[in-house]
Amino acid sequence: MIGCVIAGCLMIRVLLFANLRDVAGTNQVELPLDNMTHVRDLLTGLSAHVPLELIEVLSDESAMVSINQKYAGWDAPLVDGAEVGFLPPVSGG
Amino acid sequence: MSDVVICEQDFDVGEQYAQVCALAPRAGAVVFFVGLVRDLYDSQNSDETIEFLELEHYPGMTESLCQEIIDQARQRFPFDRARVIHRVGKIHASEQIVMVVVASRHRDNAFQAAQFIMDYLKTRATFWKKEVGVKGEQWLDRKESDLSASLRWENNGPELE
Repeated sequence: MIGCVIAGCLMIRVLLFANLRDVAGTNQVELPLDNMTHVRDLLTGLSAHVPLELIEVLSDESAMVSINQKYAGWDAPLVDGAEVGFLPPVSGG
Repeated sequence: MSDVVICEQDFDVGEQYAQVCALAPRAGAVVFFVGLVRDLYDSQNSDETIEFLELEHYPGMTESLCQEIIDQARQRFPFDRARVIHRVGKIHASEQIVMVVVASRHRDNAFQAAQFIMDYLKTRATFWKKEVGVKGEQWLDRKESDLSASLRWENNGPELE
């Protein structure tokens, strides 16, 4: 992480909820932005940090996505410091 | 008093009624919806007992979405005051899980706004329910009936973004 700061590398914070968190075994992953430009590129970046099963579950793009706590699409652009949520179908009320 | 409260504690409907009335002195109608945990059986294996529901949410985003839903409802069905309380954490059968209250000058807007808020809350607000039983646990999916309930508003006025 310190190396990243020195190199001025841009970061993305991915949040996982409900069954996605269970599958991942963690509720958040910090990733360098690298060459990722859109939400769907995150699957590649995530694959080094989470079980393959999560990538498989996410790859059909049926989960909803948020960027900085607003609903967004899988083709939404990523920006430095963004908080990206992968959201299973909601079931409140 | 905040319009949106997400908390683990139960709420007192009488107390909420008194608060809303105090904040909406010109209201002529107050509509309440209170959702209870209906029955605790495993939705896929009906002979298996569920011990409780576990609710989680996306802190920050949930509150913003609920406020956005209230604001949209107000645009369509002007009212004096609305409040949403949604519980999270562990909730057992028969316990209160959610409350929507709307106070308005006349009953039509209060009824419709409360229904609109509830329909959208179920399909857009970032809550997730898990059934926990002796034999395990499972996350619940959004119901198709809830989705159609919210879709009926789409062709009848401004849509949510």
